[in-house]
Amino acid sequence: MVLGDADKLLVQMRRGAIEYCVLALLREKDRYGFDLVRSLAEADGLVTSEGTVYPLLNRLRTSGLVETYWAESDQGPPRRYYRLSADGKEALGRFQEQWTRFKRNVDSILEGGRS
Amino acid sequence: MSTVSQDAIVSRYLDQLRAALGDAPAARRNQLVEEISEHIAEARADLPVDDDVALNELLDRVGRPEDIAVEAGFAPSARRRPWVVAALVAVLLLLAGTTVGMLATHHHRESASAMVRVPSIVGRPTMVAVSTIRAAGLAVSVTTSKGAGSSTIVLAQQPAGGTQIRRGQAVRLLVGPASSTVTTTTVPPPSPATTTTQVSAAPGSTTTTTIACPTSMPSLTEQDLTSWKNPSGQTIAVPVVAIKNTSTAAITITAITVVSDIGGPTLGDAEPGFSTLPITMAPGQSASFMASNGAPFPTNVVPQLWSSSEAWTWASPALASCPTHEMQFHP
Repeated sequence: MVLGDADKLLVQMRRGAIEYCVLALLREKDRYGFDLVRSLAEADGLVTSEGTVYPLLNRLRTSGLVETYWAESDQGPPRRYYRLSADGKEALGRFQEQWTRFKRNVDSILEGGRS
Repeated sequence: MSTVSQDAIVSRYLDQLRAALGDAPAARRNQLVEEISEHIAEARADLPVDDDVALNELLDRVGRPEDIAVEAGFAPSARRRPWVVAALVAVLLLLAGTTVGMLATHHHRESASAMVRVPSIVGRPTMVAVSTIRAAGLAVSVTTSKGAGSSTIVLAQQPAGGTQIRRGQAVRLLVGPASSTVTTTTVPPPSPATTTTQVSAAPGSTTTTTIACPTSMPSLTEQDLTSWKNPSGQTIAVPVVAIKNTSTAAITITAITVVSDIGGPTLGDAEPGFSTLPITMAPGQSASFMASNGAPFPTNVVPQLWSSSEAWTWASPALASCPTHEMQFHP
């Protein structure tokens, strides 16, 4: 078979894109872990299990794309908030630009081939 | 009663996660377990109490510990089970005698992480206390005493500091107003000639000098938190922190971070920076500090002073119009 398994490809693409989705969610406002994960999970099929987002968040923090801090909450103990760093903002900007171009090109070829 | 068994279910899940992450460096493993434990606690707050089915669904959503470990880059190891058994045996030994701890060499490293010494955190700011407890690998539950504002310290803890408990178990904190025990003294506003007049208001807000120090601050919204503006829209220059060493020993101040009393972000993160640090202060010596870049602070800031040994918190609103505060050290 010439083509790879489409399902596998989608899994890989999802994995790659999800980190940028996290960055994008943090662009509008800082979020605490649970809030962030639930917002991601609302997008259908993006996250298979909520717990797997935390290793990803750790990687983003280690690479300096997000930062964390504590803030008190109205209910219960303080929460660990995530915010986008300057590097994160830049990485997101670059991805968004490339993604938009990629998506447009693939779409136009896919749709052109259909007609 | 069922809440207890629900706690046990969660604690068993976290144990499985910890075991699945057995090959990860301890710091990394603790961090992940802590974050996922926080996630579960948040999710449980929305659940009907005692609904075991809902709790299991919740844990399903969080996912299999093995999957999380794989995502973290650590495939669960095959020799995990013997380690767990070794840890259990070691825990039993620890419970049986006090000197057995000496036998817990690196060969039985897991036994060291099964039991945790509860940190003593009475009198510490709530935020610091909570992160200290979590860093020790324990959960935390906070009860706020009536009438407490947003800046709180720990009034009591249970179990007491020094007690050995199982990793992941909760420490209960009663927190209350900081003003009741933190030693701060207010000194009159400095005259314009003195160096501490470096405290200044933002352009166009000269009238702020007539505003009295608020006794309580309006609560900030998340938006305010993000944009670093206080609700009145007024910005102030970085506050001066005036310190007097009233002890008989020299004290080295290694860092000053400023935390808004609604929690983070610490302005240490935002890096205003205090340029003259570290500084060693002789007995009786006074010094004042201001952040080096003049970044605007929210009005309700709580500077934390880190000496070579410990952190003190200075719990007063630091408006530009307020008197400066003098902190006295009693080591």
